[in-house]
Amino acid sequence: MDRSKETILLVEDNPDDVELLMRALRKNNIANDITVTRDGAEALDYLFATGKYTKRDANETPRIILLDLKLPKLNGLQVLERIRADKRTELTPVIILTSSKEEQDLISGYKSGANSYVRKPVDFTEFVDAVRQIGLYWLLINEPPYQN
Amino acid sequence: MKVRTKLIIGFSAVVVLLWLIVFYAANNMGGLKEHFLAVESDIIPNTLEINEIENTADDAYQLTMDYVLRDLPEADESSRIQIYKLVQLGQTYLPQAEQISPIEYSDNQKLLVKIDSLTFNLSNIINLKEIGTSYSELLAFDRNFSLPALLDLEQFISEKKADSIVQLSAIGEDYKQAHFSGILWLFVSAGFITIIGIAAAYLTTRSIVRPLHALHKGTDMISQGRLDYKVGTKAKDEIGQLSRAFDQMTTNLDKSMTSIDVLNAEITERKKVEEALRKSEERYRDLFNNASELIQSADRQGKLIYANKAWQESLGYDESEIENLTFMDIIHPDYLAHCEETVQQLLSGEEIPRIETTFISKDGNSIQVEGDVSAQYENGEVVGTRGIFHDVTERQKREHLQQDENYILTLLGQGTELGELLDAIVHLGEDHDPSILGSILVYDPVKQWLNQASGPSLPEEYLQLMEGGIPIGPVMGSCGTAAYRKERVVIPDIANDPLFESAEEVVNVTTKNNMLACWSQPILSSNGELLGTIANYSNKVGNPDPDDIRILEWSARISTIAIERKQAEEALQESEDKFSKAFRSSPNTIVITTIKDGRFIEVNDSFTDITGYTREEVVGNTVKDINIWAQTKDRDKMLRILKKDGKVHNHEFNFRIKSGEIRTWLFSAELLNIGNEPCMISMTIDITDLKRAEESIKDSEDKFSKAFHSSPAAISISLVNDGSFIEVNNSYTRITGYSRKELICHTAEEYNMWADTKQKDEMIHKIENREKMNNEEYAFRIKSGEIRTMLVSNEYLNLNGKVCVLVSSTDITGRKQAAEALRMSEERFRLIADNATDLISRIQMTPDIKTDYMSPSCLRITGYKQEEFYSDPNLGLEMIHPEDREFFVKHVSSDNKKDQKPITVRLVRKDGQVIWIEQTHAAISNDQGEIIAMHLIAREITERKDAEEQLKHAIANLEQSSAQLEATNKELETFSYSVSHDLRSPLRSIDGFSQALLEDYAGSLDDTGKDYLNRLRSASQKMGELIDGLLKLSRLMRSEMHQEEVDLSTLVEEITSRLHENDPKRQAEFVIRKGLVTQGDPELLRALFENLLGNAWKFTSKSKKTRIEFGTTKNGNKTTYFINDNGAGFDMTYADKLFGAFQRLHETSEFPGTGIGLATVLRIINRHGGNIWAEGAVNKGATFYFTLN
Repeated sequence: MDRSKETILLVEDNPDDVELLMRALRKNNIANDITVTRDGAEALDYLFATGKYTKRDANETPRIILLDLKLPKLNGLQVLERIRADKRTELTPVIILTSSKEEQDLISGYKSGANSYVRKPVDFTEFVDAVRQIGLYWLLINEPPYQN
Repeated sequence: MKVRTKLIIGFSAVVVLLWLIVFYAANNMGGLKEHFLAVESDIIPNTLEINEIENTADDAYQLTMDYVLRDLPEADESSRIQIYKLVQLGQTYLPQAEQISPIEYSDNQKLLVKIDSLTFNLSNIINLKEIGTSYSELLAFDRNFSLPALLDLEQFISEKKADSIVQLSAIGEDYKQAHFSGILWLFVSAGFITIIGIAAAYLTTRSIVRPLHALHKGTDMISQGRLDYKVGTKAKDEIGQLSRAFDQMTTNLDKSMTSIDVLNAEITERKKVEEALRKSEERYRDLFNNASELIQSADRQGKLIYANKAWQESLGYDESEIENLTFMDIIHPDYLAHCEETVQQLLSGEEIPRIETTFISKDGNSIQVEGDVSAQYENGEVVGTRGIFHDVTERQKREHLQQDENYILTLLGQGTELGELLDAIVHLGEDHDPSILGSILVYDPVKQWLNQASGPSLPEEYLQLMEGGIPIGPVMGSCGTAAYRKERVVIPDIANDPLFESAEEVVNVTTKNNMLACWSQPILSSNGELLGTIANYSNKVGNPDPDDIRILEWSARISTIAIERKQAEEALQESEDKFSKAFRSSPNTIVITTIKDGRFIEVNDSFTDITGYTREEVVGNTVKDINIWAQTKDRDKMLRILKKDGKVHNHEFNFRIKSGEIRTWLFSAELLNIGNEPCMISMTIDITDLKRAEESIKDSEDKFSKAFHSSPAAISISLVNDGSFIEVNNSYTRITGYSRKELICHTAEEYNMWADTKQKDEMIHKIENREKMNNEEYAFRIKSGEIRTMLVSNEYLNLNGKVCVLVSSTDITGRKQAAEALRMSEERFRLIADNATDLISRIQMTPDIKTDYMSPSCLRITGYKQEEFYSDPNLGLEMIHPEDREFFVKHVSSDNKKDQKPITVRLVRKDGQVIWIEQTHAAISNDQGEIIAMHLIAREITERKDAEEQLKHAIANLEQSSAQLEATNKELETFSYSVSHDLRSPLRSIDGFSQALLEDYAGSLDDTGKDYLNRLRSASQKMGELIDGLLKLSRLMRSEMHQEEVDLSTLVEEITSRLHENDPKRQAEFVIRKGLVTQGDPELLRALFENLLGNAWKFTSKSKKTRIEFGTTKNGNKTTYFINDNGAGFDMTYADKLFGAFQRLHETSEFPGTGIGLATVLRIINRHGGNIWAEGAVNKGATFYFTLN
């Protein structure tokens, strides 16, 4: 199994946050391909090989999906629901990465089938450390559902 | 064979058999027992042995276990003892085992071996232990060796035991079986023997006893006289011989008895015949003697042999004279010749039919007889004559007289006049005896003398003398006297008889005409009344002879008949005339009909008048023909009554007259015989009209009775003169409590019914004066003693001729009481109403609406005076505000119980001012449930109303503001949410990229650059904290408060210990007052304390030893909590700035913080409704005081 071939899908609209996240991942030696989609619709296009991603093979599902909740067009929860509705992606680990502390979002997230819910800390150091832990756990320790 | 022999053989056989059986059985049993004993002696010791072995093994096992498992690790001494014991056991066993018999030895040998090995093992164990083998190894060793051995041993023993038990039980079974079968056999054979024995005994005895029995029976028979019985045995033994001899004896006896019997029988026969003969003779004799016929028997010569009593009496001869008489003596000379002839005929054997002849009695009287004669035969020859005769003398005479009588009666029947009849009678009498002249006189009861009715042969002179009539009296000749005396009077010599003393003239005439004697017989009616006299005159002096008497008596009798008959005829004729008149002229219908078919014989004029039929239409037809009975079965009923009682009296029946109309008649009838046909004569009275009248009276009586009894008023009828009750109706008894029985014939005074004596006298006075009372009020005492008020009216009436008064009373007690109660209640009401401050009114609803009452307070409240309400009935309603009027009317007229609550309406005062009133109403209904009046109570509530309105407004405003507040809150919430989220994002970027810069481009930056970047970072972080703090604050403010019991002490403890835990290196002392519990929101309170305690902890961080205290002080009656610290404190001058948001009294470099904490605390305290203030001094610590609610 060549772990480096697996992609990470990042769904985030804030470009600063994207940059910081990428940096954090790099700092942690996570060498996977990282695909970034800027909104919910794009994320789905990517996953199901529609829209501008028709050339992609839909069966190649990302290793993990880092999902923000506050997105333009479809919001994070709606995207999550769509992900869970499709047979190809229903088991893909989804980690909600959001700044929202709202309980409602937390509950809804889990109800819709998220595997993990992480609040983005303000402090960058903490943030980087959080990323490291996420990476270690979800990419190394946790066994993925699809072993391809 | 002899008897004795038989017996001996029999018994011997039985004995021998018995002996054999017993012998055999005993033998068998013995053998069996031996066998069993032998076996037992083998097995039982074996079993015992095995038991012992088992016990030993058990012990061994036990000891081993004990030792191995427990004792081994421990002291040695005890183990030695154990082993010793074990070895001993083994040693004890050995000698025992050796004693067992060789056959079993092998088994026990095995046993021994096992125990041996066990012992060996144990000693090994001990050795091993002594050389210090470890516990677990020992255990293993033992486990592998001794335990199996033991188990093996155990199993072996149990097997052996089982075996021996099986064996033993098998043998035991055998024994039992054999024992049982032995016993059984014994019994069976014993039984068998018994049967045989009994049979033998029986047969033996039978051969002896039976013959004896027969013999005995024989003797019995003999004693009873049955000599034909034979025992009849063929046995050859002694008893047989005896029996045969017995039989012989019997036969001989029998023979001799027979001959005697025969003789006896003959003698008896003889005697019987003789007796019979004698008896018969007697009977005949008796018969002959008592016959009324004259019975004689004579010989050939005519000499009398026998004559019966009657014969003797008639002819006047007695017994002794009979012998000497011949026919010559007794036959009347005229008849002698005839007699001779007859005798000759008889003697020659002729049979003679009835003959008539005449005898001569001793004293010369002729006796006419008729009868039978016959010849008497002996040995075929006539030896005499027999004769049986009737004395017909009298009869002939009587016959003659009877003929005369019939002749007279015939004359009577032909309707001959009395005079002629009597003449005939006299003539007949004279015919009998020509010497007699007869005459008949008839009695006139009015004049009381006799009139000559018949005397055809009497001389003219005499008749002339009798012309005027002969009075009856004691001395009035023969006739008069006889009539007077009502007895026969005989005057043998008229001339010299005292009875004719005073009748000289008569005597002269009679003497002259050769009427020398006379006798008179009174003629009496069947009742003994005098009808007349017969007088017979004889031309000879002397008494009448019997014949004369007979004729006289006959004449009298015949005359009685004739006269009576005549009289009866006359009476009948008279009665018929009377009847006829009555029949014809009766106003009631009289009808004669036959009983059988109701055929009309005769009807009277009234019948034809009333029914409309004519005589011709009715007579000869039946009641059915004219269908006169309205119901045919009525006639049958009538006939039944007639049959039963002999008459019908005044029965009511319905009849149909010619027009078809049905009339009711009272019917009476009596039986009547017309000819030989049973008939009835019936009389009817038309009562149709009467009946109708009766019915209408009855109807009216019924009506009266009903009215009387069902009237709810108490009615009584009493006699005026004494006041006693004649009749009372049901209401009377019900109301007064007295029963009819108690009242009738008693007076009201008796029962003390008047409550007041004056009233009583008044009422009595009125009644006596026939005054009419009309609904006058009186008080009466009823049975229970209660006084009731009644309205009394009366009427006078006449019943059965007596003046009575009918009194009708209505009980108005209830009414009176109700009226009284009402009056009192009204008074009370008025008292209240007049003095009330509220508006009280009473409105009459029926017949019109009118203000009955308005309280004086109306002036103050409404501005109108009382009089204005009384004069204008509509004012009350008009006063009500027009908008509220409809509601008001609907409310007060509703029946609904729910509408009884007070209502608020507006009134327009006289001065135009509008006021509010709260009104309650109560409807007053009458007995029928209609509302007759209304009570209204009203209170002015204008002020209250205003206040209410204001309140309503305020509430509305409040609600509005509250709604606004809600809305505001909601907005805030959304706002803070988005704030937190949206504000954070850029913060993160700032911080992130600064850090990135610091890390990645550290080389390109100088210190200042790095410093700037650091500031950037800390600034953004601070902002983050601020945002968090604000968010938290706002959330606290938004959330709903839940009031709960919160233990503050525990809460403080938790928080302080956590604080300490996070920084354990600090020296800290917490003084926390225990048991402080209050009501409040747990979340908020937690936040409160976290803030306060957090602050305290923060501001004491510079102190050497931190001391934080939480407790309460009393400040008035409110519990004041405080948190005190010995930290940096603050300047009291700035105390009021403490709780402002973002206010800080220290530099961040000194003590970090956002400045929101206390603001939050203040908000929380406010939400709980409490207060907070602080006291402090710089570097001397701070104390925050607060109250909750």
